[in-house]
Amino acid sequence: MVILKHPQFDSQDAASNIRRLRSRRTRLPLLPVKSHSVVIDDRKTPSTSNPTKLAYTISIKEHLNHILNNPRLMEKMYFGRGIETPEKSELWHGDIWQRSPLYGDATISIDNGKTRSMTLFGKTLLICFQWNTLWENL
Amino acid sequence: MEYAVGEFVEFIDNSNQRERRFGRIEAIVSLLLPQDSDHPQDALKMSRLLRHNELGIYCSRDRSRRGHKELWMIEEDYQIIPPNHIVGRVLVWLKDVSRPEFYDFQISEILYRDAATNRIQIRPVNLRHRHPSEYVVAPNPSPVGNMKVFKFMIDIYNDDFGTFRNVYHSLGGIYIQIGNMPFNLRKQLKNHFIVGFIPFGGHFDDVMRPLLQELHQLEKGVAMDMDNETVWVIASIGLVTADMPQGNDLCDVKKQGALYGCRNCLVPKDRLTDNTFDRIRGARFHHVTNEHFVQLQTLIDQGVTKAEINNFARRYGLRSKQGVLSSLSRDRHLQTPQDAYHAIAGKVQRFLNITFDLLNDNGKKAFVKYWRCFEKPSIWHRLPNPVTHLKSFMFSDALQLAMIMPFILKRFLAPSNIASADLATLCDRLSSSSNQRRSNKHVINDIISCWVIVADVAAHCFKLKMSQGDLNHLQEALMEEYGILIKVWYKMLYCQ
Repeated sequence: MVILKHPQFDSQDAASNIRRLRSRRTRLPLLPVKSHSVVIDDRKTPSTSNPTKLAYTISIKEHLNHILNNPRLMEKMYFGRGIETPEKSELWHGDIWQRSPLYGDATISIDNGKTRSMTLFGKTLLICFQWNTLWENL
Repeated sequence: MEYAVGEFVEFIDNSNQRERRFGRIEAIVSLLLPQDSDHPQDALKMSRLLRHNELGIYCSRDRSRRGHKELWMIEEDYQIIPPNHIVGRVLVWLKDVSRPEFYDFQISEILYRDAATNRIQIRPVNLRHRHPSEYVVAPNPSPVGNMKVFKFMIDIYNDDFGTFRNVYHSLGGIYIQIGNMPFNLRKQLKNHFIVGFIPFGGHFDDVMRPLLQELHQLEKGVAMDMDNETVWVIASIGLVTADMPQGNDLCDVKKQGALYGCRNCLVPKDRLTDNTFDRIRGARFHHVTNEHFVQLQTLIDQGVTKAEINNFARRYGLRSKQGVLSSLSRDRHLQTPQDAYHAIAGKVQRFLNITFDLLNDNGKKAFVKYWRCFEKPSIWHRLPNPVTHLKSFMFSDALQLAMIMPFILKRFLAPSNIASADLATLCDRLSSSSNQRRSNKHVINDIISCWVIVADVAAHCFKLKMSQGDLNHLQEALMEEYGILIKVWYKMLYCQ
């Protein structure tokens, strides 16, 4: 019912015959899976078994791509700087999110008492970072 | 004027508006006050630097002499200040990094509060968790100026599971969760994303290696399409979640049975239950571990014997080779938290076993009778008989039982329900530790109060919202639990 009532549902997309539907059921859309061989610890396996086996992985980038294009998830996710609140319940209330430039804001610009937060990628920030690293390396 | 996180500045003190003090910008945050939760305000989280005359008992003659050029870090009472309270930048040399050409002050020591004694202590500046701005490699700027930027926090999760019922043939699962999701989304099974499986006998590092290049790229930033729009995505591993011993493996620490088998501190094996160990000074620090690995690599390059390499690894409780995740921008010791669920639920299961072993046949019968008629919430699923089927209890079942244990014991437990030999031993132990004769009734009360405190710790540990008060309560409850469990049970279990 959720599918039928969805605003983007188009009856043209529905399969016209049962055979097509059956063929779709056997292979639902999947993320691409890659395989590579890994060495197996021979202390744990019988001496007759293969020294390597295939391991299957799904790319993290693909997962992120799917999440980005899922509006129902994206509207509930948080992408801001760390939040300071008396009651902590989410990861962005914690130390790692607040401190690390990988998650929160890396710089803040302060002039005449007014503030304007910078995203990580301003020219000024780069200079700041270069200055910072330069200063630390000296 | 631009200020970056991790910089040292002069600012107006929160407690005394007329006073200016030096400090470090720990974080740029949005301040969310309970009375005005819709309008977060820009704020800075500041750690303070102390002058020599603020050191209290540590203000020695030598420190006063150095005081005109030196400041001291203190790791408590962080201040949240509005950004316009910043007065200006100050150049500070932390003496564990190389010396800059210009600096106004230097720092060589840190003041901190020891959790066991609750007293202020002092330690050298080298023993600190460095600020992320010191070790994180800055991501690349987006190629186009007005591109939307999304920063993802990835929680990588690794656990073994049995593929067959009784046969030891485990398979490892590697999953990711997205830290940007609120907790109610993150906990749903559909939001755990599978990355791969580790075949039986394979290693995490081998399975993850092909994905490493991608993780490095994501840390730097990549362009991705989102609804016909190109956005800039930065994603990095913020958390590594794993139980034992995989958790220790993933932060390059030896397994939990080793001499130094804790992934957060260097407590030796024989002091694991000693709460006087200073775990702040004795913590493992990411940069110190890195230095050890550099030394280890030099030893390997010099072609020393395997025994010497093993000795080196044993001395610092490290693995003889770094894992694949160590090349990513993360603090391996701070970002691989201990698994509280296994720890607490495992303890409860063990304690259930001990409690049922104490009961004689009458006691067991009485327990089952009172447990059956206990008014449990209607949404709880039916549990099997805890006395006979404890081994088939899952962690969640054990925690459920821990909630009602104090009440059940309070209703029925009497000296006649406990095996007489055990009762006598407990009586003697408690009498000798409290230096006064404890009656059987006292012993019963002590057993019940053990359960009360165990249930209280479990409840506070898994609270969905934690305030500072909750954290303090949890800390006190854990100390109390430690005291009572050691007093009542430890010697009985291990020293007979």
